[in-house]
Amino acid sequence: MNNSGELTAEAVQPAPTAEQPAPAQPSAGRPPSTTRRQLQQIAIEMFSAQGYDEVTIEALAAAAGIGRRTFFRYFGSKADALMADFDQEVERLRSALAGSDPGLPVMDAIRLAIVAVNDYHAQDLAQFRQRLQLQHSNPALLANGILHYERWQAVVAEFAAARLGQPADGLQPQVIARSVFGAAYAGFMSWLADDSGDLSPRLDAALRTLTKAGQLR
Amino acid sequence: MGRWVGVPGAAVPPAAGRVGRKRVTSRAELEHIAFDLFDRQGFEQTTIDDIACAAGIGRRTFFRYFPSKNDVPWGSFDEELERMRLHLKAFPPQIPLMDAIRVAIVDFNTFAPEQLPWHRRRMRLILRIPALQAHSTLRYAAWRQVITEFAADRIGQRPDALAPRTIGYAALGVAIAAYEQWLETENADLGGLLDAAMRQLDAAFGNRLAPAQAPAPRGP
Repeated sequence: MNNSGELTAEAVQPAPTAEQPAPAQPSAGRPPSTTRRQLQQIAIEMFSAQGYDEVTIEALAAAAGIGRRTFFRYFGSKADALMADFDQEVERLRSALAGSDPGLPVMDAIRLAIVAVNDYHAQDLAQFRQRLQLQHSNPALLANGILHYERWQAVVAEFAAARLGQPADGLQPQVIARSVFGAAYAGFMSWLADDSGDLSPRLDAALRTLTKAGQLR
Repeated sequence: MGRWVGVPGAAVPPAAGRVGRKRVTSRAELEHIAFDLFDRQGFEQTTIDDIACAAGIGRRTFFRYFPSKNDVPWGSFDEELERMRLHLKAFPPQIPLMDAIRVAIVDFNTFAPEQLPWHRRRMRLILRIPALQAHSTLRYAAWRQVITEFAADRIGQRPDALAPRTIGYAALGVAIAAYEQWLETENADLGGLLDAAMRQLDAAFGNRLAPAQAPAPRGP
């Protein structure tokens, strides 16, 4: 991405559309995640500068050098443009859990997987901070974020359910998924608030706090 | 009993700074009228004018009961939150932290049988209407803060430290998990589900989970 925040033409040729001819190389079924990230970056910049409600999808697409229909190949809505990293994290979490050692207790497996997939934030803390601030500044973005959080929790619930031999919508897998999400979110908020240290140890400590909670007086 | 559902005729301490507020009977009635409208025409399609009109009151009178349409499903949540704070404070120090929180959460969500159908409608709105979710985060934050401050006080840390924050967020997650189960199942026991959910949190994180061949009960 260049300094003006525009995508290079090369990066935005994922699919044949009305505006753009089909790229020479065979088209993959799924748009590349790098381009989703670039669109996310443009969205962060435009939402921050102009306000989320003022930015149209057309303007967002134009800034990226793509058409409206191409935009919808990457994201289902304007608000979703802010969730590229998070969506990717959900998929990484799913893979990490699927690959976890079956000999580990279920809560240890979940803790280690969460800690392992969250290291990417460290690459761009300023952007991550800006994204969270944006999300909390607009009700539509906040509500949309909650829908994405539900998917993260569903991944944890499905893993716990499979391990425990229970349905994913049962009370125990849901308690695990929602408390683990709560603990991870507390880790994020605590880390954002004091602006120091690595994120991963903070997440690890938050999840370990729950392990010890039963012994607290 | 009572808790944060608007209770016809129940005495709820008036909110500080409000002058000349009507009896809570009227607030509960206004809630019920609004719930009927939300069911009939949808939450987003219902205006404050619609509610006021159906209640035979003016728009300004509506605002004496609720600051916004989004606040209608939350009834007297804030006042009841203050009661939960006092309830937690009253636990003797020998009661373990998570036990105190579990008992306080069950108590906070205890309702008389005749209020339960209204509470079910209320929670269905709060947990199922997308337009209410952003607003709900403010109420959730206030709820969480009560738990977090209690935990911080108990373990001798600041409320913004990691451990008390984590306990607040996790307790909210557990309560929502129990509420989701309750909404899915007619006639489920809300208090029993909340109690079981909080105990399962402890079981899960103490790595004392039941093995796969012995599924945990799904509530009473």
